[in-house]
Amino acid sequence: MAKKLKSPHLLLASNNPNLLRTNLLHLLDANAIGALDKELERNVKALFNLGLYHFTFAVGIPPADWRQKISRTYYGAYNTKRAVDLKFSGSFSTDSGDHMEIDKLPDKFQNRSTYGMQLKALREDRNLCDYSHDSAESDLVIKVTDAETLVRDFIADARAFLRTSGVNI
Amino acid sequence: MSDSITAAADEVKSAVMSVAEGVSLDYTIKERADGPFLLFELAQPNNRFFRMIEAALVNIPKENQFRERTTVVRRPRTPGDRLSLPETQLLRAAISESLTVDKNSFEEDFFSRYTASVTNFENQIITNANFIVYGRRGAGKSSLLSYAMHKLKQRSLPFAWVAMQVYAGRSELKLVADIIEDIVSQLREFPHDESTYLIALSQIRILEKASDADFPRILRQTLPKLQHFVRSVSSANRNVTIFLDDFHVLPDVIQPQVLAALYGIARGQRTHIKISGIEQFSRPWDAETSSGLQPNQDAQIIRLDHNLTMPDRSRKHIIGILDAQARFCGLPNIRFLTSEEALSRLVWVAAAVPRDALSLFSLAISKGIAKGEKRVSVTSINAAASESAEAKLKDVDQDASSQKELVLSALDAVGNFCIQRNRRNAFLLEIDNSDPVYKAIQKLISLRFVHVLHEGITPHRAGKRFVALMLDYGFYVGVRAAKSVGLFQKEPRTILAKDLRKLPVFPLTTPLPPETAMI
Repeated sequence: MAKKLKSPHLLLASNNPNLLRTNLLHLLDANAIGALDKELERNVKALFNLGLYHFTFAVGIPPADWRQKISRTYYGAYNTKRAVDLKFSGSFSTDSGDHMEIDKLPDKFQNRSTYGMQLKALREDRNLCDYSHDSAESDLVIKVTDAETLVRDFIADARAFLRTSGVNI
Repeated sequence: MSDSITAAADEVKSAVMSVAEGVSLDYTIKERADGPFLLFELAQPNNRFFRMIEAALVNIPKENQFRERTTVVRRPRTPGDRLSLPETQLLRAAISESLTVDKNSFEEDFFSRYTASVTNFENQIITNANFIVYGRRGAGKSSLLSYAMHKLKQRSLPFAWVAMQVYAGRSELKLVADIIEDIVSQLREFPHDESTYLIALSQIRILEKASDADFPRILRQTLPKLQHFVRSVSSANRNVTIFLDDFHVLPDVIQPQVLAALYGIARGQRTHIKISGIEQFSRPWDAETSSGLQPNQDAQIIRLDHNLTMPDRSRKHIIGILDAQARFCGLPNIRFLTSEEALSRLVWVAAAVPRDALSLFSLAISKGIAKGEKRVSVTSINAAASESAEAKLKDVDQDASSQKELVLSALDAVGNFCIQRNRRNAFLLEIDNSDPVYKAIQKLISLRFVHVLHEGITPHRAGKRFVALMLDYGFYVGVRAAKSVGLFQKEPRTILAKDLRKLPVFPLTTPLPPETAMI
């Protein structure tokens, strides 16, 4: 269930808007299907922009604030990945368990395995940053500067992937 | 560190080893407040290794704490002993794999491991035309055909790949039927009309039973049915390609007949033939009977091998190939493992032949490890070159068995002239296509005993043109280059005419045994 969404909302109408569209194709005319597509694209773009917002904020954080920098950088990647998911498979979730899916990228995504494993490590680093009072910056698996590069590249590849999938972003 | 952590790490390490060609990658365990993290270390990680680890982790039980906490990182420090790294072991395995390229080589990694030819023939070979790719052993002929084949695969276009080694030495006409059957059965894997396939197969059975005397007549009768099948595979936007790899291994008498039959099937059916072979041992066209595939008329010629005529460009090309292999194996580039000086020597000892450069470099790694070197040295490259000369002698049996006596005598004469008499590794030879000595030395070139430095200069008097040649390094380098032999250029750079004019002239009057078969 998608929490924190106000009805009426496309993402509340079904667990998967792609499936919803497929199963309404025979009932709706082209204009109605077009309206669904437009609304889906609006949501994909909004998620992508949310990721971009977190990342841009992270870039501006001083390196000494490594906990905040890693945390926001991770959220930049996480929301970008949610945009990819929504467009590619129609999946959308606001559950905390969704973070465990950070490595599940579409097969055709550029350097899928690299991003999958690196983002998983970044998720663990983000948990360490947000919750572990005993940790130090040297505990990070991905250094602050490397994390920034990783997520910058990921956002660029996600944008290319979404464009290839027809999203005007 | 607790035993359970070590055991969990060992479990992941073993699983990774099984997908990393038996090589045990270096790793560390990062202890931190929220639990340990397993980090595999590479000099330059790439997607291949993330893919490997990901595949290995799939089979790790959920109870293993590293199942969700393992990744690949760049080595924090540059190790001193680079030849013993797991990445170097992987490089040697990758080089071994790449020494014999065929249609199955590299599969999904093909384009990440492929390096374009010196003169970028890639755009040409993929066009819808017939091609004959010439080059010496290891020049990259099969790689170029393979490049074209992988491009077809990407687009799901139909092709057949015939490794002619399977048919090496056969000269009976039934061979033609066997090759046609090989092609037809491969094309059957693509969308086609099954009834035309069954008819084509019945025609092949008739061909197989024909006597040599009846064969040409029966072949003419069967051609329309065979064409019909090929036409059912091809269509307006689906050209068919037939690859014939290492065509020169067929006896020269049968080569034009094989190509005549295949061209008969392909012509006008949106079907193209792409062939690789050693030029001196290939005979695609029989002028007497006007049969086969006529070079420059029916097929375009691609000459892939520039020998040592462009040493600077060859150096760049060979380093490019080694860099691609190094990156594939988690190294930043090949310079990580060796020096500029050793790479220059490698270009000379390999005589710009890519496959020779790869195998020599792999052998030099072994030599370097045995001597406790941290990086591959010039001495190790020399030692590898000396050893590889023996392997080239073995190639004579495969590529020119009927010419063995002539080839070995010519090699002996050139060796004496260069090493004993002149103490120089390069020489000039007057160009005279009708002279038996000139023809014999052409064979030495095709077998990589002698290498071309310049294809035609006029050093002394107008009208007399000479080819500048270099005897292979393997015949005079041991642990270090024989001090008594003067080497032509140490650094591969553009060759100047003034350097060539000073070279001694090999006499065309040198006595050699007669040729024993037509080439």
